[in-house]
Amino acid sequence: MAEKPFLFAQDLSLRYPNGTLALEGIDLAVARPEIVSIVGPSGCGKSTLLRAVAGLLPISGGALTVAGLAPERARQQNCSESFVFQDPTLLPWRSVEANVRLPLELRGEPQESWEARIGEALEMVGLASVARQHPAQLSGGMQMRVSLARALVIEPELLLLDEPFGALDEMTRERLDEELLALWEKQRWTVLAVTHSVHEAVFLSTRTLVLSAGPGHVIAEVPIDLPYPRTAEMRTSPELFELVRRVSEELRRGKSADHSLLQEAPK
Amino acid sequence: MTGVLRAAAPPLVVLLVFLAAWEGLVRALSIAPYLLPAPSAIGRALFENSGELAKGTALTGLASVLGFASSLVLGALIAFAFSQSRLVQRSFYPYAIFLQTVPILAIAPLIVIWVGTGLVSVVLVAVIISLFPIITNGTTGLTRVDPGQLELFAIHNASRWQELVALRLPGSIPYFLAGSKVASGLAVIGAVVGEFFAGSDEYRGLGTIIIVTSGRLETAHLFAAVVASTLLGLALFGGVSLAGDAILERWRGRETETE
Repeated sequence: MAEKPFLFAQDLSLRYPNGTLALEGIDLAVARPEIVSIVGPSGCGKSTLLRAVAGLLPISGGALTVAGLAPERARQQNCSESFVFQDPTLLPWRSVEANVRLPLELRGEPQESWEARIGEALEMVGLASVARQHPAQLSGGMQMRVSLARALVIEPELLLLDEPFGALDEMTRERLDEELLALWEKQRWTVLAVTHSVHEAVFLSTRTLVLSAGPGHVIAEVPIDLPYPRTAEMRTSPELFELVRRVSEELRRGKSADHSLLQEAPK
Repeated sequence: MTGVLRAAAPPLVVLLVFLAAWEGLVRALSIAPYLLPAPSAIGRALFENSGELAKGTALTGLASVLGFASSLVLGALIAFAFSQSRLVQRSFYPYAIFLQTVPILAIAPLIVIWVGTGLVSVVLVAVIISLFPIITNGTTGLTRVDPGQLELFAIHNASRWQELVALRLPGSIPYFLAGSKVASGLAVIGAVVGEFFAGSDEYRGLGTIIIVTSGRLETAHLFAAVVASTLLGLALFGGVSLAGDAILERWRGRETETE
């Protein structure tokens, strides 16, 4: 039997408990350490796909494996995963360092390693100086960085990003994107990133998947063959713009196909 | 300090104007003191009965504090039980609402029949009336958790116990504090009402004094007891609010230094 890719989905479908079909016929193969970004119209199930991979939502049909196991078992047994949510989801009663410590506590990591790892993670996101402060004292961008440090402190094999910088202003978002890529160059996690910004998707990833409107399925896959490290100057390069144009075109096609479907459907 | 003065000045002026108008009206219309005593008469009653009132305030205060503290402990335990099982919550919540809707004036005499006069009955009435806000606020705090934070705990394979200790319990603190504020005021009201029925020669709380003086048409004395119980309520509510705010500040980490 040939070894399955690190992240593998075949004809995956997912139906919510209320009966709505959220994802349909999803095929996916991600090697490590890839950065795969997912774009699609809102409500297409991008975040749902991420949650299925994390083993937070059960799939309804097809196959989905992470490191060869069902997602929930993979997460519990042999694959360290982190999820960065749209909101910082920090615990307001914990200081910055205590927030970053949380995954280490929950996973029962050896206590003598905590301090060094927390320090390293905070150093990575440039927040070592505010370790003692509480989330309410930080700006939105800083809170998001704490959230990122919390995700990275366990040195995850799989990093799931759900529009993590979406609520931030453009300049902060771009800087965080660049910081994230710089870290990835060193640590090489596998990343699955949902974003609503085509530009961000292209800039970050080795490959961009385009989902159609719900029920979401993959309508296009655009390899992003730009070299790393990706610098801020590359944001405005013609090569990158060409790729942005291609992904946007696919997105539009997905939307119009969806509209014709809606018109044909009864009721 | 000047800030406090500036905040306190307008309501103080209103109070003084109100008292002056009251005094003037009572004198001008020569209203009978058993109907409406003048503020000066109430002041005199406060002074003349200061020993009795101080003792009564101490007793009622003790009953209120004991009632409030019992409500806090009992309410937290019940809220915890509710949060652990939907079935328990669904089975018992309607009876918790009973606490909120029961006419306490009807229940208090029953308690005196069962338990007798004195402190225990008074504390029981205070508990019955102040328990509900702790239960509802606490249950809400323990069950309503940000779904993102729950997912965060799930992704790191947190156990149910970890979720409880590291997420639900600390997250519920602001809710318990909000419930405590409401309960502290209610506990004083409960104690005074309890004393209407459970007072005796050995137990003369503010509620007892109110009932006795109203029977004798000693209205100025009655007013003095009402003033004392209002001040007591304010003191307990103020104390709990201040303590709650201090805890909340720590909880949010506002006390840590900002550079």
